[in-house]
Amino acid sequence: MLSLLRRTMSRKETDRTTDRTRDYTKDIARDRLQTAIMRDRYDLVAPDVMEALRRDMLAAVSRHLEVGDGFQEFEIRRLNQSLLLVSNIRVKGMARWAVT
Amino acid sequence: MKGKTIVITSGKGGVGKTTTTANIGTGLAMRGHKVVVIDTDIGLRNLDVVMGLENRIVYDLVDAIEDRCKLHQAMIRDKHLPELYLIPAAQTRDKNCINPEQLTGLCRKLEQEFDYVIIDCPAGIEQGFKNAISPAQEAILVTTPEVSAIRDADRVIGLLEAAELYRPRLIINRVRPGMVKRGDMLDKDDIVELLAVDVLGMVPADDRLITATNQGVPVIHDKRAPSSMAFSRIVARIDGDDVPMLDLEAKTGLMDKVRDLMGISRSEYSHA
Repeated sequence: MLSLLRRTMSRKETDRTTDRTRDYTKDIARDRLQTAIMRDRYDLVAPDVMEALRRDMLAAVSRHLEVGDGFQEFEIRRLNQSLLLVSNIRVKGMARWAVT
Repeated sequence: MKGKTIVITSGKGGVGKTTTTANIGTGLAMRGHKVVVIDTDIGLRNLDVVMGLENRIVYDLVDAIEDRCKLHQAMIRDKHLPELYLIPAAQTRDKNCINPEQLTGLCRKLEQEFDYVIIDCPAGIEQGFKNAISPAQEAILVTTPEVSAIRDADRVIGLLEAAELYRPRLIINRVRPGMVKRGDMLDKDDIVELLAVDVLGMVPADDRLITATNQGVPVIHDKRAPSSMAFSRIVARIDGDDVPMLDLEAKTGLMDKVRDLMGISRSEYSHA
């Protein structure tokens, strides 16, 4: 709702040919499509992409921090218009080289 | 001689796949190539009527695949161009009666004889789609600047890439430059940003395309039609020419500038 309001407000511009303030409906179309396409893609590729991402992220985190064997939480959640990658990992300890 | 097989696809129905196929096939033949267009929409054939060849059908695609006729007997010669042929879809069968291997085999044979084999793909992403994309070395995606068509196009791009048809090129059909200018229609840049593909061309919405199709003549024959100019440029690009992309609002004559300043709307149509 908030984003819709923001979008509507930000896109109000004066139309030079008619000299009145109006919305660009193509901007609404583009924003809606961006969300719909992102969700479609996510729904279709999720299982293997999520597995690969989980593996890569665990490897990346492990290079910098001492962590347990996996994520407590690792998923994509829908929040209003967007998708959030939510991941939680328990830090077991700090490697000495990570401390200044 | 080794020809190239190109599939014209869209996902969503009604965006102009068949009309685009007819015009691309005709355009390539006008440039002197030997071309065969294949209607793979089995059960819902239409390419014949768009090309004005509906009264000449004796055998069809399924007859050729199931060896009820020779391949040449299923090919209908175009009325205007002697090097253009149509293989019509069967009307009384369904899309499951052929498989990708059979269609691929047929196209490999045709590639020996023709420069271009153009496949008109049915709407949807089921068996008919899988059949149609299977023989292709290249894919052309048709969309209109509408949310439904663009969303389906994204889905189809994913399926084409899964079938190793990378970098499909996009035709944006039925563009209305006046609406684009008013900010009420998605423009080329919006669509490129959403779909991340190369644009092969844009075709303006054009009354003359409808009147030409009414008569069974691909509009590309009507040199003065705005959509004809757009299709000619698209065909040149398919054929390897480096044709610069023009904006559909590219008319920048003095009178246009004057009209612009005075706020008088001008003709919706120019060419891309």
